[in-house]
Amino acid sequence: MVSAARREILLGVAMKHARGRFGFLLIAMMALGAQQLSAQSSIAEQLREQWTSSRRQMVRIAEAMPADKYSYQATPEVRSFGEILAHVAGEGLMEMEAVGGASQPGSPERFSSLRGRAEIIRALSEYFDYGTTVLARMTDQQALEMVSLRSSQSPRWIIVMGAIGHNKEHYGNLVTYLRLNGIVPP
Amino acid sequence: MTRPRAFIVLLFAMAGLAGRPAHAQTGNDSPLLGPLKQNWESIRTNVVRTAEIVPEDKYDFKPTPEVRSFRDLFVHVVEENYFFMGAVTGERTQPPGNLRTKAEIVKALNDSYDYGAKVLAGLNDRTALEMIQRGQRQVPRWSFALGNIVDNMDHYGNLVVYMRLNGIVPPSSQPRQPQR
Repeated sequence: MVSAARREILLGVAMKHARGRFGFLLIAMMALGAQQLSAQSSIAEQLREQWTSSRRQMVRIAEAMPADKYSYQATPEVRSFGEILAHVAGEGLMEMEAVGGASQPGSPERFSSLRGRAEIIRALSEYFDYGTTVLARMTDQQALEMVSLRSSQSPRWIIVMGAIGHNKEHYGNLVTYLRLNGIVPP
Repeated sequence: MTRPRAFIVLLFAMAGLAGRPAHAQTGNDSPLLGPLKQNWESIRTNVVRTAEIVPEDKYDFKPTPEVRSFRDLFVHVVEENYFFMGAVTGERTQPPGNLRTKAEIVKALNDSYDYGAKVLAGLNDRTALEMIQRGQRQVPRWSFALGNIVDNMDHYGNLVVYMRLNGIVPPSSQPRQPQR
């Protein structure tokens, strides 16, 4: 099923590029094609599903930890609860910017000075909102195209998968942090 | 809690380049299956290395009484590898039961990742994207492999904290200095 929001994004993209004589035809084709996009998409749609589920999971665990426990770390040499979330948001946002075609992806460390629960949850939302927008308009063909990240070329889909896997790996840390604080994970 | 991401991404990129085999298995793979196989081998390395470096007398360690021990997590990963990769092909291979010793668990983990690698080696782009039934829905075959890797990452994330609580540097952090 294609949501109304996604159709609007696709139409927006089509109109932006509709400069020539085929503009109107292109818009009409996109409007019809958008209805079929999800059904035909076996790669991008899987990424969207994994993304949505990862987002829900990360936001829920961030909200489950009380603000005064954000500085908790399991051992002295590892990141605190809040630092893990800020790391996930910063590195993930940089990767999704590469996927989305940003000319200059931001620093993966951009959120690492954040300490407060509210500002860290905001950073997490910024990361997931950006990724949701990038994925909303992605086709399977675009998912398989190579883009530049960290001076090498990778297909877009594996960078998205890397970000989701990275979320999940750190979610696995956070679950254990919660348990160590006597909190049952959401 | 760090991991050699740049290296992993580089491996994926190498696997994606036509005619540039980064790994014997992935030499002629598409931009879909090449990186997928590399991802499988990467999580395999981290989980199997963990099972190898954790001393056997720590296998029953659990950070709190209500959660899985090291041993329970390893056995769970073996089971989920057979479950998810079996779903890719539609066959149901039973995981080995009654795993107790470290040697048995390391072998069972390796066997389960070998099984997954064999399943992935049997796919091409067409069969990977073929829609099959999952409950009430139609999903592409490869989605189970994706789910398997993502779930493995979750449990590896648990294992990383377990290792730190025992003063062990996780394999994903070993090539570099421990970072915060």
